[in-house]
Amino acid sequence: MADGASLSLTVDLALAGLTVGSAAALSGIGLVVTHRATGVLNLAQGAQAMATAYLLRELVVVQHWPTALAAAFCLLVAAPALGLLLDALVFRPLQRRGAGPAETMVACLGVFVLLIGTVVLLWGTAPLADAPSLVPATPITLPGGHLLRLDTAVQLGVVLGLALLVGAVTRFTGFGARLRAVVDNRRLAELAGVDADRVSAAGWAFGSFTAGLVGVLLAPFLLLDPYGLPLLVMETMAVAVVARLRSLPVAVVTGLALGIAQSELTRLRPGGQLLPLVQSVQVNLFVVALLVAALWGAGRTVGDGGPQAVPGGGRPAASLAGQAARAAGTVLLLLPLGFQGDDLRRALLVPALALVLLSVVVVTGYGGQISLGQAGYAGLGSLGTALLISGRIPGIPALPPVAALLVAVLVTAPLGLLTGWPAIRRSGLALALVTFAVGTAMSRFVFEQPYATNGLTLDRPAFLAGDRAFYTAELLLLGAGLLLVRKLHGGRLGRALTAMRDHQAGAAAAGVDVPRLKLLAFTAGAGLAALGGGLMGLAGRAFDASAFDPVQGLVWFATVVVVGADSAVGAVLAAALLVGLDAGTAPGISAVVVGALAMALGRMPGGLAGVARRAVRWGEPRPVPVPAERLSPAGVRTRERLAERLSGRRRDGVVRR
Amino acid sequence: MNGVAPGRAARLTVRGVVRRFGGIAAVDGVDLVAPPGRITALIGPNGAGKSTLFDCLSGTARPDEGRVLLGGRDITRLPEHVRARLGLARTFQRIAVFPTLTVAENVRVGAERAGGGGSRGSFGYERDGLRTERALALLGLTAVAERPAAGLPTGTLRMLELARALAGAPRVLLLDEPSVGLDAAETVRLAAVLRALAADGLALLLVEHDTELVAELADAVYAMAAGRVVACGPAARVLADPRVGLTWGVAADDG
Amino acid sequence: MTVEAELRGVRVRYGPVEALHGVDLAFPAGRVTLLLGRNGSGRTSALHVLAGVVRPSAGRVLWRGTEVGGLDAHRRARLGLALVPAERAVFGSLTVAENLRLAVSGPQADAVVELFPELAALLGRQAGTLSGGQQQLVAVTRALLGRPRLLLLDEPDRGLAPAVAARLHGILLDSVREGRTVVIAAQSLPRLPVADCLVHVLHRGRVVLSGEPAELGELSAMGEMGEMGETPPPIAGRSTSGGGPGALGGPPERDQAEHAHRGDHGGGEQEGR
Repeated sequence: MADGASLSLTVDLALAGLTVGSAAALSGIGLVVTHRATGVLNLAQGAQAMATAYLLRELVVVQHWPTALAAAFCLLVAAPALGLLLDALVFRPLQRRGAGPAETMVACLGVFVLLIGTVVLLWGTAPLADAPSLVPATPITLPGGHLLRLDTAVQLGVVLGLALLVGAVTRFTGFGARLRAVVDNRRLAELAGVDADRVSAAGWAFGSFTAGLVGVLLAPFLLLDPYGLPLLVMETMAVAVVARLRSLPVAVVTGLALGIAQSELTRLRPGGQLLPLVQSVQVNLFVVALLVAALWGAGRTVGDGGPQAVPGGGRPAASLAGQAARAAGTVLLLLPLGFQGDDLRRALLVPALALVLLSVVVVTGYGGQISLGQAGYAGLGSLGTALLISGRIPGIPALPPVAALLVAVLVTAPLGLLTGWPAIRRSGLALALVTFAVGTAMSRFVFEQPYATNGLTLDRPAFLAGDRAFYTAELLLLGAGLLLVRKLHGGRLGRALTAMRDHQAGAAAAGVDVPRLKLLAFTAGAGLAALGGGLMGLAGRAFDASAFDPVQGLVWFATVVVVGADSAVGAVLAAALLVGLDAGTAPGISAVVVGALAMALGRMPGGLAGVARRAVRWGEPRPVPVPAERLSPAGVRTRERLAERLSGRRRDGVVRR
Repeated sequence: MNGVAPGRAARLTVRGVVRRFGGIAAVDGVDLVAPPGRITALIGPNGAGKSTLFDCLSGTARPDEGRVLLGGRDITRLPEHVRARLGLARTFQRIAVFPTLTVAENVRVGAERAGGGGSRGSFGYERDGLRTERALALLGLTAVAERPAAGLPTGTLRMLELARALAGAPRVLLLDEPSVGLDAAETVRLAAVLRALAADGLALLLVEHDTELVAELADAVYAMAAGRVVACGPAARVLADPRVGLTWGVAADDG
Repeated sequence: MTVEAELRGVRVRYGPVEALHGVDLAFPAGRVTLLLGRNGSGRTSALHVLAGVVRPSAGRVLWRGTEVGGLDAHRRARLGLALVPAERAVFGSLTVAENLRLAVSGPQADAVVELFPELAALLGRQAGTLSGGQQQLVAVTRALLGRPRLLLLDEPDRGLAPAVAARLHGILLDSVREGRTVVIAAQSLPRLPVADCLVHVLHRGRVVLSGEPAELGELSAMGEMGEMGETPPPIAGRSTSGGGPGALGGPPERDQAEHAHRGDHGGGEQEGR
């Protein structure tokens, strides 16, 4: 009897898990198909899903379109059109230029950030609970008395149908053969007359369609907000990574299995201390899966071929552009000292954010290592400071704020090894996935826990209670950070870092200890981010987990790359602009600007700093031209004789054996 | 030339190196010696195992069996940068330079990572600067020293790569198809430089497709086929060896 | 003589390495042109630039009198240009039939069987499972089925049995008789029974010789090749000439004589440039 009940519960939970599982499977199908057709892992999929869901809600709830019409428009017109647009404007130019996976990834993040910014601009950040559902949640009674929701059933049907359809098209149609030819060997396919660009365009359209489908199917189950849904969909990348970005059946099975497993895990209820942990694993099973998949095996499936480092703009010379940027940065930073009240309080964010962005400069700009997880380290700095001030760490008495900040930074810096260690053997997309997964795991398993959200105090010391005094202190710390960064970029160490970024194998051959240097970059980056995060917390006198959301980390990464990954001054300017743009205009504007620029990065190597440097170099003497072709004396004679022969007396040459 | 390769000559010795990929031995028990003051060449058709052996020597791959000795010291398990600091320099078939550094900075990276410990401090700083300047002068790069490496012609980049390798005061220099991308005149110049380096006491080992260059330069030639050394000895003799021609032909038929 | 295609002052660069240092090459219409040179001479790059696989970093690519440097590879393919690369010339994950069907739509089994009967039995096999020679045959057949007006082949004999290579040569000559232009890149002169063909010899990314096959011998007899620092491409003794550098096939005495000769003239060459 008990066994029967247990089995019955198992079945019910499995059926419930199919809802999330089929959405994940759908997302996996989209990612795998897009990757096969285009060679790109569509990191922007979550944002596409979210944007489509918002559009559907707008059409149904605000414009009062019939649901079916609105859904058809969103899924069959708007989403594919977005895919085609992205292909034509962003990805095809990159492909043509032979851009590596790192550049393509930055473009994807640009799309991601731009879409989020646009949605925030249009619909705000307040979560909406009224996303329309396409299929009613009518329960269907299955044999054995189990209940399956109609929408889940439809969703499952869509997944299986779509997978079969894709399989059939690939196997049996002419387009499918061309697609497989492009997947097999893109260059040869072009030589055979296959328009590989058209195949890519179809891939983007389809990927965008499935992304939209994931969005509109998932939205009714959650609150619709610009950050939550994209992140959720990004977590389902685990499914595609497990499928090695190749196998549809594996993606579908993995998606469904993870969904069911997540549902079944609710039955595990261990007592005491373990309960919160098990619960977080259950809620965040996809994050765990992404972390595991990214750490094991993703190295070989993703990110091979092409330059892996984010292209830098060259080391800044003591140029006019550099001086101008430094002057502008100094003015922007000193300006708030004259501010009052709210303006000054908002400005407190600028130096703190600048330090976090500097951490990206160190890791990505100088070291050439992609790190999407810097928000995690910033959060650790903030949370650590709060815990230490509140005396919540067992065995350590409550510390005064300054000491707490210092200790938090010192403890977080070595944690940089969490991403630095995987970076030793990874690069490009594989490293991006790992660092993103680590950042997300920190957010979910460390920041969003009861101990972190309840009853923490984060008070400034008495002498920094005033905003102006605190801002001055922040400037001093930022100055110290800039000095450290300068030390990292100059001299022997700076040359070694640049060498590692430019050509890792070459650097190793020249005697540069590449693994140690990577660990150093990640450690320094984690320390800087922790300092910035701690200051953010002290500025707002609270630990705010949402400030260190993984999506926030993506925005920061994109910002730094857009400004010029290896420009420290650029990072400071960017911090001022990010804070200033959103405060001065409407929230979301900064993301739109950053996203648009990141998408255009393929056309401006080195970011804005690179553009500025080239503009200044315009007036400088041009490089010596490469010597023109010269024919050897014998070649000249031969050519003359050949011309003679071709013009007159033709005779049959006899081929000798 | 003095000072670029100071008098600490060393030979590179390879003993019974085996490297397998999934059960297939790409390098199957190779013995080889690159003595100081000599140019040793490694030839063979594509797939003969030259590149894999080269990787085992430079440290990008670890052999499954056998040993690699640098001046009597076992370096088989040492990572690349440690080998470099011990005096084993290499160049790449697809030239490896740091495009955003200037020519001088590129060379300086090599100088600063040179072994001997005392690279820090003002003495080390001066010594590194001196080595950089010497290497630049030796390879005729002084005029372009302050230019960024990006966009320089292939011939110049090849010289730059060599200069960086030499700035590290190497004892053994591994060259992976150094003539790739060079025209005939540039190849002549490269050959002259390599000969001068050997005369200065450096041990050179080059992997090269261009048998003509090999015949002109090499004091000793090892011909590989199917992971093994099939002939070795003076260049003229090995290149004329019918077995070498035969194996090349067979390899070509295998496709 | 009309020119089907032409490279003018073309340079090709792969990252730091420049493979062609500014070459002028003409490919006369309705004839066979041989592009000779050993590994690293730039012959493959020349074919790739003509087919649109790589963009030249400088210079012009002309086809039928028009600049095609900006035209995508698949457009050139549709306009009647076919390139059979030396490596990875088939889609390994597709069946032989699918490989061939990419070239043209509709059933082509008859035409295939007519060209190479041995392929008929292989149509259902995955191309990746075939031997090197069989793959080469599939690649050549795919190119021929498209009935291109300009056919570029990179080492077409590689891996083929002598008899099959001879048949391939026959087919190529037939298509030249039908008015097509054929360009064959190889390490050494293939045993091609054709009287009227043009030979370009590339050496280290430059053209060192353009002429008729017979002239290769003449030039080396005159000692000019030595002066150029170039070993004349030996006339292949066997059909399977690919793979190793041709110089190895030659008698050793000549090799040594060459070196002695070059030693005298090494400086002269540098001056000449």
